[in-house]
Order: sequence, then C-alpha cells, then structure tokens
Amino acid sequence: MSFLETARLALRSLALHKFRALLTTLGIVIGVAAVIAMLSISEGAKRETLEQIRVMGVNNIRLRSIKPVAADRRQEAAQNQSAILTYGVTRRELDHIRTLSKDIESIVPMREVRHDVWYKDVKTDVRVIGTSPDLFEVLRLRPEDGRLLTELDEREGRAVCVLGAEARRKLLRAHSWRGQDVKVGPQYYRVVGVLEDKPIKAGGSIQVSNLNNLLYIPYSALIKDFGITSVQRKSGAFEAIRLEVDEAIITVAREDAILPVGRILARALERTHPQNDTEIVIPLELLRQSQRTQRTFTIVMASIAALSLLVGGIGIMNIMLANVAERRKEIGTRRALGAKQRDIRRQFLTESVVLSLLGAVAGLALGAGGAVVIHMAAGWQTVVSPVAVGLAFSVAAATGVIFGTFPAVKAAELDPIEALRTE
Amino acid sequence: MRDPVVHLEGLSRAYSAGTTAAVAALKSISLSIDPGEYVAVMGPSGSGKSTLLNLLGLLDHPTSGSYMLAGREVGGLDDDERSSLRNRYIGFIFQSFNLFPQLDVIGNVEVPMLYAGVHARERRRKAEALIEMVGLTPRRHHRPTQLSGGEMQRVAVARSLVNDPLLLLADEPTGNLDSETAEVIAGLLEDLHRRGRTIVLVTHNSELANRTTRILRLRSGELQRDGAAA
Ligand SMILES: Nc1ncnc2c1ncn2[C@@H]1O[C@H](COP(=O)(O)OP(=O)(O)OP(=O)(O)O)[C@@H](O)[C@H]1O
Ligand SMILES: [Mg+2]
Repeated sequence: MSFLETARLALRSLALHKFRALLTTLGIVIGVAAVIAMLSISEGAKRETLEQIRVMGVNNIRLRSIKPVAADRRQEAAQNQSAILTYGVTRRELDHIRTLSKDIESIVPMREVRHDVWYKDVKTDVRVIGTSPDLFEVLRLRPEDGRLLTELDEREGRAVCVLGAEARRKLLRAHSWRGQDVKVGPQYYRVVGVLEDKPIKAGGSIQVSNLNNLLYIPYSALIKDFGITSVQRKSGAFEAIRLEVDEAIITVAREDAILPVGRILARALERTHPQNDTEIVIPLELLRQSQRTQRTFTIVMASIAALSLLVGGIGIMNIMLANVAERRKEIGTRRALGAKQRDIRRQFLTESVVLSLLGAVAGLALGAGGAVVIHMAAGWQTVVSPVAVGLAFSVAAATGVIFGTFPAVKAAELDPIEALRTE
Repeated sequence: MRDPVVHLEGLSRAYSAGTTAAVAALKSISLSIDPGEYVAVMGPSGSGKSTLLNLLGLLDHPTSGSYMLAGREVGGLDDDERSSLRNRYIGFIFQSFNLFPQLDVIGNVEVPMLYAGVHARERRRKAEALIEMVGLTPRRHHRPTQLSGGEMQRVAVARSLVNDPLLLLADEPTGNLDSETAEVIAGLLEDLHRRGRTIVLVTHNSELANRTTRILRLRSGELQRDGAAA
C-alpha cells in the first residue's frame, strides 16, 4: 500500500468523526499558531534591526548629542545662571576624536536646522541638515540627477543644497530642480542635485528616520547662516540651546576595530561629558544584542511551543487509543483479509500524523493571520519565513509520530480473533 | 493428483483459562477437503465450528496437530507469512459483514488487493467486475451505511473473491439476514461452487447445509460425522 493510499485512507477514517478530529487537533493548532506568529514577529524584528543597521552601515559608529533631562538642567541652571542651554558634542571634540585612533576613516557631523522650508509660496515639512560631503558616501546616497555636495561647497560655505527624493517631490512637485532656489527660514539655497529614492522606513534617530525627506546643505553654510544657537518656542516660553552637532557618524576602517574604537570613544566622552549628554551607538553591538535577545526569545518560544505540542500530542495519543479500541473489528477484519502487523501499524501511525499535519495547516493559517493582525494593530514588521513553516510542519509531524506510535503498535499487536470478536 | 486444499491431522485447539483446567475447543480433528468441495460445518453452539474455521483461515494457532494448506505445512510460519497466505489463498465472509464504514463499495472490495500490492487500475477493474457479478454496480459508490444487510453481504462476497482465493470461508454468512436475502447469498455461494470454488461454510441452517456437497458435524470439539449432504 503506497503512502498516498494510506494517507487517503487516514483522511477518510478521520472524516467519519470530523468534530472529534477538530477538537483533537486544537492543541497542535494552537502550538503551531504560536510558533508561526512568534517566529514571524521575531523574524520581522530581526529584519528591521538589520535594515536599520544596513542604513547606518555596520562599520559606522554613531555619536549623538542628547538634550539633558529637565532635573539635570535645573541643577545646572542654578549653578551657572546662563539662559542658554549648552550640550552635546562639539566640532573641536570631533577633531580631537579623529586623532585618537588611526582606524577612524572619517567623521561626518550632522546638525539639524529647525526652520520651515519653502519653495515659492509652498511650505513643507521637509527637514534640513547641515553635513559634510562625506555623508553621501557613508550612507550610500546616490545622486539621481545633478551633483552632491562637495569639499568646495563646504570650504566656502556655499548656499547650495541637495534634495532627498521625497523632499524634492514635496517641494518642487513636477518642476525641474535646475536653477531653483528653496528657502530655509530666511535663507535661500540653490538646488544642485537630487538623490535617488532610498528605500527605507527604519526608525532610529531623527536624522536617519527618513533620509528621503531631507534637504542637505553644507555644514559650514549652516554655521554661517544660522549659527549654533537656536531659539525654540516651548510650552509658552522661549528656550535657547547651543548645540554644534546633533549627531556624528564615525566610520571605522576595519570591522574588528569597531569595538576598540567604541571603547576609546566612550573613555574620551566620559571625561568631557560627565553629564551624559552624549550617546554612542554601535550598530555591530546592536546586532549582537539583538542576536542575544533573539536567542532568549527563541528559548522562551520553543518552550511554549513544546508545551502546547506536548499537550496536543497527548490529545492525539488519547484519541488514537480510543480509535484503536473502537475499531478493533476493522483491525481484525483487515488482518483476516491479509494485512500484516506493519500494515496496521502504518495505517494508524499515518492517521495520527495526518491528524497533526491537519492541525499544523490550521495552526499555520491561524498564526499567519495572527501575524497580519499584529502587523496591522501594532505596526511591527512580521515575516512568515519558509523556515518557520517547515519547522512547524516537521515538529507537528514528529508529534504525530511520537504520540501515534504507541496506539499504532497496540493496534498492530491485537490478536486477530480477539479483534474480530468485538462488536 | 492435485493436493487437497485442506489436510488436517490430529488438529486440536485448547484454551487455557487461567488457573482452571484447559477448555478443549477442538479435539484431534483429521480431515481433507479437496478442490471444488462445498462443505458445511454444523453443530450446536460452542461445538467448535468457529474455532475450526479460524484455524483453517490461519487466524488461530492449533495447540497440536498438523495443517497442510494446498500441500504446504503452515505450522511453522511466522505472522507475516500467515498474513500473506490469508491474503492470497483465503477469502473470508463474516456473519456481520465487516465492511469498512469509511470506504464506499468499490473501496471495500479493493482492500484485499491493496495488501496484495495490486495496481490501482487493475484493482478498480477487478473490483468493478466482481461488483457487477454480485449485481451491485448501481450501488458501487455507496457507503456501507447506505446499504441493506443483503447488499452488504454481497459486497463482502465480492471482497472475498478479489484475490481469487483457493478457499472461501464463511462463518454463518446468512445468520444476520432474513430468509429471502439469505437465499440470495446462498445462491451466490452455489454459483461459486458450480464454478469450482472450494467453500467451507458454517451454518445452523440445515436447508442451506443440505445444498452443499458434504457436511461436517461437530459436537464438543469432536468430529462426530463427516458425510455427504442429504
Ligand atoms: N478465547 C477463548 N477462550 C476460552 N474459550 C474459548 C475461546 N474461544 C472459544 N472458546 C470456547 O471454545 C468452544 C468453541 O467455541 P466456538 O466459537 O468455536 O463455537 P461455535 O461452534 O462457533 O459456536 P456458535 O455456534 O455459538 O458460534 C466454546 O466452548 C467456547 O467457549
Ligand atoms: Mg461460531
């Protein structure tokens, strides 16, 4: 008897008690659904992390300025009566950091300008950063048309800008970028190039949250036109801050130098910034951290899955034992018609495997559906990977085999005459 | 000369019921059944008829004695060998039909061929031919629950024949049927006998027994009489 025929027989036998089969597989359904849903969430989280890291570049270290929290500030204000809040990394520090390790390739400063951006009389929510020309290379931003910012722009503090793809759509609509000026606050900048669409939606710092929606100007032009002190209206009062660099990207030449450079940075900043107004983000470390989290998550998930599959497996064993007891006459008759013990064993084993695979199919549908719901409700990226599907099915099949073997062996070992005698 | 289909010598079957003395269900039976014989086994309840049939059908093991099936001693065979002998040489018809509820008529008739490894197309062909023979072609896609008792037993007859067995064993095949449908089954068996099939039939119905060629009378496990039908 071929496997296909055996499987068909199993389906027909199970179809005699559909509701019972449904109830029996519930454990497996829930177990598999849990596995699929959780794997797809963790796979989605993993991809999100990787994407974020890919955007930042794995060899880049990010140095961020952090605005001190209110409590610290009151203290500071009490000490030095200045109305201007000064914090974060400075250019001089960056120049100093540059000399600390020969593994540092470049340091790209970024400073956001909080002004409205206008093209003619259209105001947009495009954001502006001043940065050095290296940024484009570091973040792999390519020009679609025109040119990028250059060293010359930087040295001379030229009033030029490059537009991200989305910024361009918002500002210029269908107009050609050539020879256009856009206005940032009171200043005009000549558009010299537009960037390719960078397909990312990754979260993270403000600067990389959406590279497409940025307008890039030379860092020196920003300093010249706006200075480093900015005044913001905040809950009725005005707040002045003095901040040179929002964030710097430090590129490291070799991957194995990343962590040592990170340590050097940490030590240097500890001395100059005891008030914790800076933060070092090392994507490589993030990656490792997420891998560690992943491992913990996998263990927890595997335990939950194992538990529900155990419960499901016991359910299957229970129903298969009942099945064998109920179908003694069938077993006896089959033996009389020439079935060998192994034929009977295989018939009942196939039945329990088919039962758990049906549970796996239902669980897969439920889990994948759950992943979609989670995606829509929580906005998490979820990915139902083929590996997860394969895993769920193999585990379900294994459950069917493990918990179906005992009933199947019992069925095969029934004495044919005894079995035939039962009504 | 052809070997007898069945040759028994001093065949006994005793049941050891725990601590109490063994119950002798069959006591030293010796007999031969030649090809083409149509044999009825009769006797009061508990006389050992079913025990004898189970031994003939290789479902049961004798306590002592020898059983030659088609000239071959079957005493020392293992379970798998006995299963394939049952499959190829023996057809069973049961009192309560013993059809499989999850299969339709064709599916039921095909079962012995599944265990014989016959290909699907050939299975279908043979099953349909036999279903035609028992007159159930219009019902070939029905499930057993949709059939009457007589129809179920006709399916069972068809099923018993698909592997072209040497020996057909029927334990009270008409026991669960009314006299009219019993007559249909009896007719089928007679038909098979006319075509040369060797049949052993257990029955309480002397009318049916008298239509066979030979009657074995059992009493308390002993072969009391072995003779031609009246
Ligand atoms: N498994 C068993 N254990 C103990 N005794 C048994 C067993 N099977 C049968 N017997 C005994 O063997 C004897 C013969 O039983 P068997 O079933 O062959 O009778 P039978 O002639 O077929 O009767 P019936 O006409 O009622 O079917 C009976 O006394 C019965 O009690
Ligand atoms: Mg009997």
